[in-house]
Amino acid sequence: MVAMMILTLLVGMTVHQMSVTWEQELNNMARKLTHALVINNIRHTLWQAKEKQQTDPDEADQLLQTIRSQLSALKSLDPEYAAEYSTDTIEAFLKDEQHLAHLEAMLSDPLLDPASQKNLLSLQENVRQLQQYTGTVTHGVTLSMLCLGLILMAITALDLSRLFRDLDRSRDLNIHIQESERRRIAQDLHDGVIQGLIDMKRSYAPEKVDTLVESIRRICHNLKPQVMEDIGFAAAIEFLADDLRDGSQRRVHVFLDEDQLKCLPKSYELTLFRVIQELFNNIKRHSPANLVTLTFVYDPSESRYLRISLQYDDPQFDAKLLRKGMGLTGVEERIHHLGGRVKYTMDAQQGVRFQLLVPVPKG
Amino acid sequence: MPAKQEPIKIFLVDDHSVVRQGTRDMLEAHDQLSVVGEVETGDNLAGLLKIKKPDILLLDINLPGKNGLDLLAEIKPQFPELKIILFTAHTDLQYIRKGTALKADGYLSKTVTQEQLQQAVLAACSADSPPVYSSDIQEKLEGSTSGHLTLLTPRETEILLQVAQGQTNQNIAKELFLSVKTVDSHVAKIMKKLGVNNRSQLTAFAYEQGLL
Repeated sequence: MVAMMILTLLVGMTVHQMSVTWEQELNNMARKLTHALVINNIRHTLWQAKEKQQTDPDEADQLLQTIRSQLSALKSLDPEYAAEYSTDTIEAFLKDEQHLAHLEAMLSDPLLDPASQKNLLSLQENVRQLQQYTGTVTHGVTLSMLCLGLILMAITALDLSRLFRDLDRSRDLNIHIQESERRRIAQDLHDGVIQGLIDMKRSYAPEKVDTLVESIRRICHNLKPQVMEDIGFAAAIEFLADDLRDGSQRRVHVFLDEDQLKCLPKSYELTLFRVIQELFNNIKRHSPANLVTLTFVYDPSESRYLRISLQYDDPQFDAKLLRKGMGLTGVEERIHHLGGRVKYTMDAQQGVRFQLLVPVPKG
Repeated sequence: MPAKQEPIKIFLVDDHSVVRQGTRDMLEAHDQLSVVGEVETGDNLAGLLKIKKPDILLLDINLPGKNGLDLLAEIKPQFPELKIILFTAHTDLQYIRKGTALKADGYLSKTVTQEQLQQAVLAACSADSPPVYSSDIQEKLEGSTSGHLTLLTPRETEILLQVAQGQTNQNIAKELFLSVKTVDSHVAKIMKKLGVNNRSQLTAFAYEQGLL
């Protein structure tokens, strides 16, 4: 976002700078054109004055007067430029009428014919229009830069507020997930361990100890997937499947190719384990499913995505209920964190179908 | 195989001294069993085994550093004569299967009684003995259905499922983000692998496998 803002500002500034340069260039061009026209006028008048000097000295004087005013106009436009055209020489000539030779030399440059002068005038008009146009563009660019800046600031502010809101939400969600995890552990301890102990108080039997040990071990496994550390990801998923089968008539099929999944980053394994654990927990808690099928497909030659599909029969599937229990939200959050996405469909014939797509980084 | 009078030499690896002491007591209560050494971790285990030359190694899985399964994989090829029995609180199928895959000579859960432990060690020592399991482990192994379509890859299984549910190849391609051509070739490969000729036979197969 910040990078985009800086880039836009840079582009805007460059465009602005360019239009300013064009404006300057155009101004220069316009000035030069005006000068050329004024000089041409002066020369023209000088020729006339030269002709009139013999026949009508009065008119010649008048013409010289005109030249003076034209020269002063030129000087006020650009004194340096006036110097370039030897205005001093003309001034001297005007003061001393003997300097005719100088005048001859000076006026040896060809005069513009009327047609060229007309062209020059229309060119001047074009330049003037261009100047106006560039001026408008420069102003436009300045104005749009300002607007853009304001919009970007507004977007950034909005973005920031969204970020803060997301942070807030994610913190809430974390607390919720933590709380529901704790609730589950408490529930497991209550149902498995405490009940077992109370039962044992009534009548002791060694098998009851075994059952208790088993249920405490399950709780430990759920807290920390030791099996994943000891044996690996595939075994850990199998472990979850066993846990889902345990004490029920459910058929649970897991299809995965351990070798295919070897290239998953280690950090993905724990996340995916937790995701499957949550999805299985949802089934355990909310669903009468009899047949559960979990498939992991990853084939880098076909797609850079790992696709996990979970399918089970549940005629009363209610995503809202799962969301309320935070299970589904937790799953989505975790998958989004890996840059992946979650899709689920429900259909009378196919049952519930979750598809998790997770991009696998190369190497 | 040791002579009848000579006791069977046992070596223990377990990080809990109470367990080692208890195990030693339970084993040595039998006059044919003798514990010749014990260690907390797998550090330098091979060296110790060379010196002590035990007949049986009782190996825990949960150990600091290398776990028992890693040690099993490491030690077994170096000491082909040595019988290695995993002696652990892990009774999950994943551990049992892994142990079996690594050619452990036995898998005993720590809930065994003294007599069961002694009998298992004695049984493991006889030549050509099949792996010994404690009764709970045996039950787990028998109860587990391998039930896996090892013939098919996960991708093929996924496609088989879709075919069995009556989906057309076009629909499957759309659902799985594949080209129809890829799905066609997968379906053909599945049929070839399973030796069937049509889609309804695929459905029947899926049904037999408990996938439907």
